[in-house]
Amino acid sequence: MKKYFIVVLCGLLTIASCRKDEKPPEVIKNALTIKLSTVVDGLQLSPDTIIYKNTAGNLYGISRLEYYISDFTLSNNTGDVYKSDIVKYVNGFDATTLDLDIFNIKAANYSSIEFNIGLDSSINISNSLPLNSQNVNMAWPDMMGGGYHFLKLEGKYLNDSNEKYGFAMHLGSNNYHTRVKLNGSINLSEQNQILNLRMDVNKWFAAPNLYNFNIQGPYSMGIDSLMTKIKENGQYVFTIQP
Amino acid sequence: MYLLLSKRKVITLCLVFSLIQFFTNCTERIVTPPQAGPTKYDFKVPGGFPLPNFNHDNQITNEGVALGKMLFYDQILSSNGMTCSSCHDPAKSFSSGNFVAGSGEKINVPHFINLSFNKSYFWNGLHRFPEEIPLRYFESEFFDTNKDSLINRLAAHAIYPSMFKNAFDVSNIYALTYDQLKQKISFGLIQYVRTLVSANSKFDQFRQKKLVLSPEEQIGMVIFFTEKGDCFHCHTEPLFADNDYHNNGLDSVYESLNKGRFLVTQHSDDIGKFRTPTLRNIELTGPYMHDGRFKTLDEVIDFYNSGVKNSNTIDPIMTKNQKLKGLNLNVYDKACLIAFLKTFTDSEFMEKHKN
Repeated sequence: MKKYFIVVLCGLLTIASCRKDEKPPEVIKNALTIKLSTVVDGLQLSPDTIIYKNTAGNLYGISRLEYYISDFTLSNNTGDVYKSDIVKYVNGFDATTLDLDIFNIKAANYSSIEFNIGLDSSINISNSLPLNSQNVNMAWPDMMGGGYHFLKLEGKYLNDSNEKYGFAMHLGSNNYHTRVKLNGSINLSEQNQILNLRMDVNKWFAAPNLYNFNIQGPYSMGIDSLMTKIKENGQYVFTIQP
Repeated sequence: MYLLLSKRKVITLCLVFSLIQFFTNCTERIVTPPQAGPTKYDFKVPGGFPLPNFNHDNQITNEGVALGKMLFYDQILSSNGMTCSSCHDPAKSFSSGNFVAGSGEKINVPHFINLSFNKSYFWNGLHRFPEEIPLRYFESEFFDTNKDSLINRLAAHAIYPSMFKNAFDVSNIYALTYDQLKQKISFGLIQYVRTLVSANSKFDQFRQKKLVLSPEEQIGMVIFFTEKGDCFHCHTEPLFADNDYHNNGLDSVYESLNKGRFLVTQHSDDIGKFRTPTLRNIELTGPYMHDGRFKTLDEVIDFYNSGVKNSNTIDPIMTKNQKLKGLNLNVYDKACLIAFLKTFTDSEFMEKHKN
């Protein structure tokens, strides 16, 4: 009897070893593709040419626009909430960085999306992001607190004397990320969706803090008062587009 | 043998087999047959470095590296006695002084280290892959290579035919066209150059908490990594280069080779822009800038401190904090910054590649 038991046990073990993993009950999940674009007060982003005018009246051009968006939350009034810890590097002049796919989102009709421009302090740690040249070049020096640049917006403007001068709006350091909340239907109930998000660069200089390069100054990095103004304006730079 | 085992032992063996089978979960084991041909080179990415940009058409192999290394130091490629190392001198971190181009203009020889982490090559980014670089060497300006002589000498050489066979499965050098031969040579050379990874400088060891910097070096580090000197925006750690192009204010007007990136893109916005060079081993790679206009690091720092010139394409960062009016570094600051720059020297690398 004991012999038969062992033989049967052997057989069961062998069969069990070859069974494929059972799949859990299927939950419907869909994907969201976020397509990012950039304009400046309705004009297309064009490198280095001084063709833009901000609310303060500064004429300016843009040579660099790099930033991170992260910490996405989709939600609605019926209690559906989806969170993603994806960190997305974006270069406004590099089309290969403008699309973001978020998969496996619980099917629902969401009514808002929130995300950070920049990184939360939990991930704003030097070398915490994958070591590729994009992330490496966004490093914020350890001497200045470490982590990453959240935003690099650089270019030239015409100063009061009509001379071409450089500006560099850099955001970084913990708590200088901007939380953006946008309302709009993102219906992932039945199928994947595309969400078009557009940044208007002029909004970085518009409200609630009017930013004039000649008054506030053309460089923000490490200057808390200026980074605060830029950060607060950042919550209004994105809109959902059809 | 089976007959020698008792039933009990047979059952025990059966049970053990089943348990092994269970825990290995019927995983298929892929048995890799012994590989014929070149063996893959074990390229180690230093800690903190970004992923390398390899050319998938030219995978690094031990045999390719061996061939490339031998060619790198061999006059066989030239008709004028030059070797790759004539300009890319190991004693100068694979750089050298100025090269005078056919036009009479000076071009500083870029140093060949950490090339696998670059996205483009040469001062103006002319080359997308380093494999394109050696193809220029055969011209009269460099090696003045005699095609027939090169083929005959390589084919008749005691070692090269077997090295080409091992690295690239070339059984007969004569069977290659000249372009094919140059490509194989180029591939081998660059495989070797890709192995020239420098990542163990004094600064790296400081980062790894293996040593401390001197007080002067620490002051220099603060200048480097803060707005005071603002070196870090272009010379980004760990490569101390950002794989990008900048006009750092060397001139007000840019002509001829000084037009830099413009010569590749033809975009007026790129006039005067050059690839940021790595600062690793910078102590050894003078003269400095794309045209070698500065002989010493003191001259370089003096330029950034008070010599930056404005132009239409100057990088916005270069006008930061009134840089056009100077960084306001005093003599001691400048000495400290240079002391810090010298911590980028990788003595182990230099010793390893002593010619």
